[in-house]
Amino acid sequence: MATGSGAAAAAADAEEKESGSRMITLTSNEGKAFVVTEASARQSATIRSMVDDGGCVDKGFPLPNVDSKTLARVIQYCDEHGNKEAHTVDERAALAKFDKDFIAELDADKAFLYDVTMAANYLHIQGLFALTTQCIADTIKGKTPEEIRTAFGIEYDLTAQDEEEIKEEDTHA
Amino acid sequence: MTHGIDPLPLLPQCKEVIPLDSCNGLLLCRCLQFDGVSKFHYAVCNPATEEWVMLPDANWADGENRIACLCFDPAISSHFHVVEYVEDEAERVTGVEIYSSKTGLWSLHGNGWNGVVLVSLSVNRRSVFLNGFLHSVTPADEIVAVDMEGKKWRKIPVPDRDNDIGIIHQTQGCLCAFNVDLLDIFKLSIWFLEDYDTNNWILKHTVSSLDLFEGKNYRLDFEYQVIAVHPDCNLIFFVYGLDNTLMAYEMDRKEVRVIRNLGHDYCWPYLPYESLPNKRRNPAASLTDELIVEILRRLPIRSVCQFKCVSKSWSRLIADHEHRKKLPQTLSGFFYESINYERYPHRARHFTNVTGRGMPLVCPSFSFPPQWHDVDLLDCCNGLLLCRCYVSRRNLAFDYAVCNPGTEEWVVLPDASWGVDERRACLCFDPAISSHFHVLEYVVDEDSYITGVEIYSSETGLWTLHENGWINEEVNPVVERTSVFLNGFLHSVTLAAKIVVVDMEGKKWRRIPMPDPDGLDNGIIHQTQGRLCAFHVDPNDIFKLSIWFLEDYDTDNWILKHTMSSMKLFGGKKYRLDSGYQVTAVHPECNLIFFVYGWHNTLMAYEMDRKEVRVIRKLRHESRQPYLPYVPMFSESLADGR
Repeated sequence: MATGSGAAAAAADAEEKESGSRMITLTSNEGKAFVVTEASARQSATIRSMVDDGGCVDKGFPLPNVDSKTLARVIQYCDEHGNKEAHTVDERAALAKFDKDFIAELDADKAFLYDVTMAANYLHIQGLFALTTQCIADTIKGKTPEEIRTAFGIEYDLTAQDEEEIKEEDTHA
Repeated sequence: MTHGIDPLPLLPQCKEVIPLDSCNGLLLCRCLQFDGVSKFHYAVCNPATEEWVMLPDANWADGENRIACLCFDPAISSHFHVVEYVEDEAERVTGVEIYSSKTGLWSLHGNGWNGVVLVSLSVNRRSVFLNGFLHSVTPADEIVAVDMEGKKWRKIPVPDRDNDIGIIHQTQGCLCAFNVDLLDIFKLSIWFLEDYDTNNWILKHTVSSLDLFEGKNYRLDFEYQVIAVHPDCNLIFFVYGLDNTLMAYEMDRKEVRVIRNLGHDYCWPYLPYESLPNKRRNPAASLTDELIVEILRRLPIRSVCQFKCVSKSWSRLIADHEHRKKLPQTLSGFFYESINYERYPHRARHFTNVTGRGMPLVCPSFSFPPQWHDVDLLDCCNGLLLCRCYVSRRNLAFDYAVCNPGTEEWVVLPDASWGVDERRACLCFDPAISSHFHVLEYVVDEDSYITGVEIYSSETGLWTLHENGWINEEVNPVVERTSVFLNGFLHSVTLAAKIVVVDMEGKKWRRIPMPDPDGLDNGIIHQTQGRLCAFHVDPNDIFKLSIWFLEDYDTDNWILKHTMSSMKLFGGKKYRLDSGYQVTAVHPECNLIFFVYGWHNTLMAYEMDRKEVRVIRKLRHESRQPYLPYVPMFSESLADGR
């Protein structure tokens, strides 16, 4: 049902999308509203697809799985990556520097790092997700299984026989 | 809907556990003992960490079920208190008994509220712990408050004495009260104690049961209950109706949302539970399996294998077929063929897992490419497989095909300019360098000397001929020996016990002498841990094998790593390399060497460091070389330029 005026409106819409000037409201699970540029919000594949599907842009997007503190930090990342250009070497270096500082700060608060990771996963923010999971991976690299259990709050439930079997497999894999 | 916590399997064995109160992440229960009908203990537990403590007996009489409340605020103290109201026969409160987890003691405090105090025994009147005081509503329409020392006693008038006093809760650090309007008993009023010190109540909101419950005339306490207010926002939780439907009402937006039916047989109390802040709960524990896999895939394969010993769930997680595809890969098994003229078709392809057990990780029948009936496996390199597919065996017309058994993708290479002769062809692929692969053919003259190489690039989709750049030397690759693709170069051993090396551009040509060029044999090469390694028969003992590592790739510096005797390897048998056994592969990540030996073509592994031998499985007599070590690749797509 693409009427003439509808097509024109779609074109105008596309133009607006292009410029990324539209503002989008994201609401945390505590009901706090965050207004961000569309370019910033589009860092999230989840929101991007909702916007592109003509979702409730005006009403905003409630994010029942993300609390305000986490959302604020996630938006900080999205703003940087969504609103800034990354064409020149300098621009890319600036973003890389931002990422480095961003993750270093998060790394200092592991609990928060996990929250941000889960939010990045939920919102499908690829760059942020890669950044945080890599950070966690770097942390656990070289740790013993015992240290992993402590770090992740996991109970040791393997029998001696289980361990024997795993080790046997390991010599071959 | 998933449950955040299990229903208390953590508590020690009791006849019955009755939840009494919850407060800021902790839960107070009455645990009835097996011995004695009415004897009980109080237990306080943290469902998130599954920690619990049993409280010592107070000096109360058996069977006297007093009202007990839990008082805990991690912002004030890491210790909790349990308060019991002590009553006389007339149900007048004579005092409170307070247990402190700091001292581990109960202490009795006489009633400090002036005058007679009754405490409603109705369990659906919750008490509220706020600002260090416990608040309870009395049937005399008063809120009585006491601190945890039993020193400060206080009364707070209810907001509207004329109307039925309802219920107190707390939200956003504020005491709030609910009551019904006497003029309209289906109307609920919600009051906030805006100023704690001056007892200043403010009517925050009124709502009719008609709006709450789809036009139904429900009354508080009869058909519905207020069970909690969200600690951080104006969200009220109700339970109503026959099915005990849990629902939430957003005060500001006046929106109702049904959460779920709790079922007809649910009963009081509904205790709001708020897991403790991050420093107490372990947020890593809430990472989903999917997220853990995402983290593990960024680790080296050795770490991942090690982490199988973390727990049962991690072990299962890592072993899971679908997860394993995402995780870093290592040697998973061997492709090989068999020929048996007592069956049809005579030729068959096989795959054995490196463990020798279980269903083969990949299907070796390659049902995916069309009409691949007559196929020879030639080479395997970092997850890709090179095959020669015969159009007709009679006139030896064939195509090369490269496939990824992990993703079941395949490409057929265009014809090169060769005749029908079967040249030696090698596959060169390293996803760390490029997503494109190369196929290299050694071009030989009538005397079997190399005149050049023909290289196919999947990037250009073309074959290019390069003339022999190994100057002055007539070289001839040993046909049945493996070649090694490493550091962007293809390495093959020649009959002159030299390794000829060429890059994929046909520009850089190099020779590396084998470690023992004057020895009894030409030697064999493999790779492990990013290095070339060479095997030679010991010149002094033909039943002995020596293993060399090329420690420095640039200076041809070989180091003798290990020697081993066939007696040790094959249960006391004197086997000779090639005639009695073959070196099939070296594990890419560790000092594990794979052999195939004997009549039954038994696949076995030898651990160099521990000098341990292990039989993997018999591949059967009819199996034949090459045994191609396979490291799967599930992620990359097969890149072909055409």
